[in-house]
Amino acid sequence: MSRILRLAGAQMAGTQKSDPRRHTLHRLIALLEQAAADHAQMVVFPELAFTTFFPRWLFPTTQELDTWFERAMPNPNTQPLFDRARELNIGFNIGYAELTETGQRFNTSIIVNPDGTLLGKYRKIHLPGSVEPREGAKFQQLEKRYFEYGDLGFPTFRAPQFAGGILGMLICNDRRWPEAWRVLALRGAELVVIGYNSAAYDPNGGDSESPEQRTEHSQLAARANAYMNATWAITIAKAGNEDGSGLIGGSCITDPNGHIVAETKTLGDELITADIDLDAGRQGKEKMFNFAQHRRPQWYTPITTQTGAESPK
Amino acid sequence: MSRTLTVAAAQLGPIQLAEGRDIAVARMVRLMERAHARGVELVVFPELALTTFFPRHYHENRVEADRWFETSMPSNETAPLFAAAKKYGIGFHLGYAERTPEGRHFNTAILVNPQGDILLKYRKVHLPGHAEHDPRRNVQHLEKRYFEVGDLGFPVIRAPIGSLDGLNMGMMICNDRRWPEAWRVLGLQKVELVMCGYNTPSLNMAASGFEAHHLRVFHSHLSVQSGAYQNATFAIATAKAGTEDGCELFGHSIIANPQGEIVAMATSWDDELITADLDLHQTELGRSTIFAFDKHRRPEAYARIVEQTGAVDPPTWKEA
Repeated sequence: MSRILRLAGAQMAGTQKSDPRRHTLHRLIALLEQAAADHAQMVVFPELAFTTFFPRWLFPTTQELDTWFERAMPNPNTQPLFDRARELNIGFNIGYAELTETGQRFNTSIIVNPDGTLLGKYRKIHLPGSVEPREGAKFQQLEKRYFEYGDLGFPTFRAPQFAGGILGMLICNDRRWPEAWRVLALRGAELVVIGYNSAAYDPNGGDSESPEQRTEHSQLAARANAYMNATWAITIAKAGNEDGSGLIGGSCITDPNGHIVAETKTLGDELITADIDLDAGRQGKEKMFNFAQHRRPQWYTPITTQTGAESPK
Repeated sequence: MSRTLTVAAAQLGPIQLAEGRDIAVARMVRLMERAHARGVELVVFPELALTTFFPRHYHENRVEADRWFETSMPSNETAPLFAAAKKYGIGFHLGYAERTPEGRHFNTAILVNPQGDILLKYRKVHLPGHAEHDPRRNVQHLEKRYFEVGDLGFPVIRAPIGSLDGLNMGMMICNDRRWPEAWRVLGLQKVELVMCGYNTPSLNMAASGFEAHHLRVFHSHLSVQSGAYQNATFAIATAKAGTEDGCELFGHSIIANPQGEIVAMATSWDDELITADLDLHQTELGRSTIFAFDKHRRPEAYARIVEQTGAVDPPTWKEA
């Protein structure tokens, strides 16, 4: 038996701080149309896809910060994407900065069904970076300043409009945390969709890690966690140059054996597509990673009782 | 200050059913001699390194399997290994089947310093396979029959080793390396070096479903590389390899660094020594930035990892 989903990933080139939203929206729609022309049933866009990766900048006032956030989704700035997707009968996943009615801010991802209804929402839990700006740094990483930690856990959704697959979402840095993948897998995930903006330089803003090594880490995390949870994964970058700050590419679709089946070749706007069999994870879920038979939660306690590392005796 | 340790993975070729422990120990002593010649300070031997991988053999009466278990460590048969360690000033990691004085059975690994002190013991938690004879399988895998689930958790010890005043060392065994929970519990104890021995068939012996042959080595490496990267630790994964009584085990033992890169790899499926100089400072970038657990982990979102064993189905979406 097989359950095939035709899945597309739309990597984006960098979006500059000064780029008008309309311009970025047109790029998104062009990629969406390309995915629909490939008969994809779903296209995955990056994290914070409507704007530049604004947490690299310090904004002194709320007013300036607010310009990067969406107060509703869709809204007049994003409606044309939703309209076009519905016309073309294609679902999509997209990341954006969410400002709620009560003033909460989240780094958010949604999956929209082909008929335009909302399948599910996720708010990023593993926020990297710092609250306070790093002194002397050319580029900041202020996600911990601008966003609250996601309050929706790691939900999965059985999706009648996507071949009946069980879908979950992660955002960027989440993909390096096996805990996040495992919670999704404990809720049956068969496909994990992930958008990211990942710096092409080391986490101290230095050059101790090359863009190639950073890309390798991104793919290692996706491949290993897809394998160890017997799930498909799609990891899609905003890549290239944003106002002088480099972002890695390496977007890919990974099968439940940890093999990359489609991969971008550029740092630009680029579409990848694959027919994925959602039943391909069954071998893993029923044998090696048959959780009910083989997991030993009695020995995992520190994972939830402890946050930081503690020295051994 | 430099913190460098020279380590080896001492991969073993097959041990046949009829071969005694003396043969395995003699081979390990030779590997230790070669390790000494290369300036090695710590050697990692495989899982169940003294015998064939006996869980592939079914005994209706479990007591018959006791012949594969060690009732003391060291013992007369393993004494030459401890003596070689002392002679060459090398610490070592050894996997063996342990039968306790109370008659309990574990798949065990120990870490021993050159003086012969057992620095750390670990008993395998993630036992693969099955407890009863399975007529559908090409080859049995009866770890769940012969062993209890380990009762020591995933311990890490800080101890002097080689020229280092202290190194945070932890162990896992074989199938444990595929379970990120095991790596994380070690990571939460600031582990700097994870040692893992394995006996893994080169083919899927379940005789059901499809698994391409080349995936076996790939999955082993992927698990070790990602475990090392995601916990900013070095890792040594050592195989018992080759064909034991008609059943093939893969080799390709590796040493991985905290970037998840393979820094040394065996290429045979036989006795083979691979070595690497580990610069322990390489653990610092990861654990002070991306994997600074105290800053970035969110345990409140991880409850299912400990509250749930098996996977549960999510609700089916309905239009609101």
